[in-house]
Amino acid sequence: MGAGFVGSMSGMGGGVVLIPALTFFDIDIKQAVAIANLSVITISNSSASAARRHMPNFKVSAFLEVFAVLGALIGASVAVASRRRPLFLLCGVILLGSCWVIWRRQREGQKAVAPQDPFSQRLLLEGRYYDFSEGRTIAYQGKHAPLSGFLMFGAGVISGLLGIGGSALTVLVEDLVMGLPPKVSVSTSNLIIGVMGLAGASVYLEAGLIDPDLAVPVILGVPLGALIGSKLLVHRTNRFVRAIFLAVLIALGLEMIAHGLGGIR
Amino acid sequence: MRSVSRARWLADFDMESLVERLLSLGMVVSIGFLVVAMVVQWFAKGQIGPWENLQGTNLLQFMRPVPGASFLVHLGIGALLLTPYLRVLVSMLYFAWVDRNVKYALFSGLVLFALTYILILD
Repeated sequence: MGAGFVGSMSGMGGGVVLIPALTFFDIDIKQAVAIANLSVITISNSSASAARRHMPNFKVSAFLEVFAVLGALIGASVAVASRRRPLFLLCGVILLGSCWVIWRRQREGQKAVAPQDPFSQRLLLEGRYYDFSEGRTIAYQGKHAPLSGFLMFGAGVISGLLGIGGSALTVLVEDLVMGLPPKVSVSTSNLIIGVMGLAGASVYLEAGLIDPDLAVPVILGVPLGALIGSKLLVHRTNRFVRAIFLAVLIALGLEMIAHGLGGIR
Repeated sequence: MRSVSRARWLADFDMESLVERLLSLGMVVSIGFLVVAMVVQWFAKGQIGPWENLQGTNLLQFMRPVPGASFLVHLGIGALLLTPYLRVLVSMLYFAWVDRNVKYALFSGLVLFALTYILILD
């Protein structure tokens, strides 16, 4: 349930809670990653089903999913066959570094919005949503579509490979690179991570790593936590949402470094 | 007259609500299968689990009938996996038919093709 709450409030998957918990109980790390991919799907379905109206951007989702799915398929395929200690260390460093970037940006305040690049203009990556907490309609434009696609491929690889971090990077790409409002980033990420998790889970399913004995309690417990989290998202400010995201990102970064230094079973 | 009706239908089409309902239904079906499986197992054997795990399968093989309540568990997991798959299918149809946006229909179609291959055809 904790995995679901953290996932829906921050727009990220719940693997950050799930994988340490499962490995603590001597579950094979690859099975834990497989179940984390299932939990990502569960969180995506649960959060999006209670999504705020007109928050997710389906065009952004459709564009980024192409790269995310490809990356997840490759990442999961590599994970089934290899060791991952160096990648845990690398991802932990990357995620902590991203925290610093977000924190710096928050301190400097909202910068002037850059004009939309021609490629993003052709894709019509724009939208609007009604923000309940601010009581007004907010219009926005997505930018840097090619770079976002490339980074989303990397997010997919990490998600498939490690079971955590992919969704955190998805929100990062949408927020920092595409310049989407945080609530749109989180809501759209909830759609993308579902498909990303499906791509990874399909590889693990074929490898026989999805244990129904582990899957059943995760599928039943995660939606409850996600439902509570997504109900709270509506009436929170963008600043609050970003704070939640930062806190989880720091925890995730430290956790991955600890995994890498401590060894992986 | 028909074009006016279609234009009105397009203007009123609520993709967000459709996706929300689809994802909700997927979760309800998935959880429903799992709960029924646990109840059946409990009455049959006095315990919940363990469930049969099928090695090296695609989704269709994973969801094939097997003896006992494990079949319901496999259907529940399968329903969970099919939910985002169907969401992508709906997105593709929306972009192709409602929004008449070829680019995004192709993007969704690519994703759907990759998922279909790995889930069903592989």
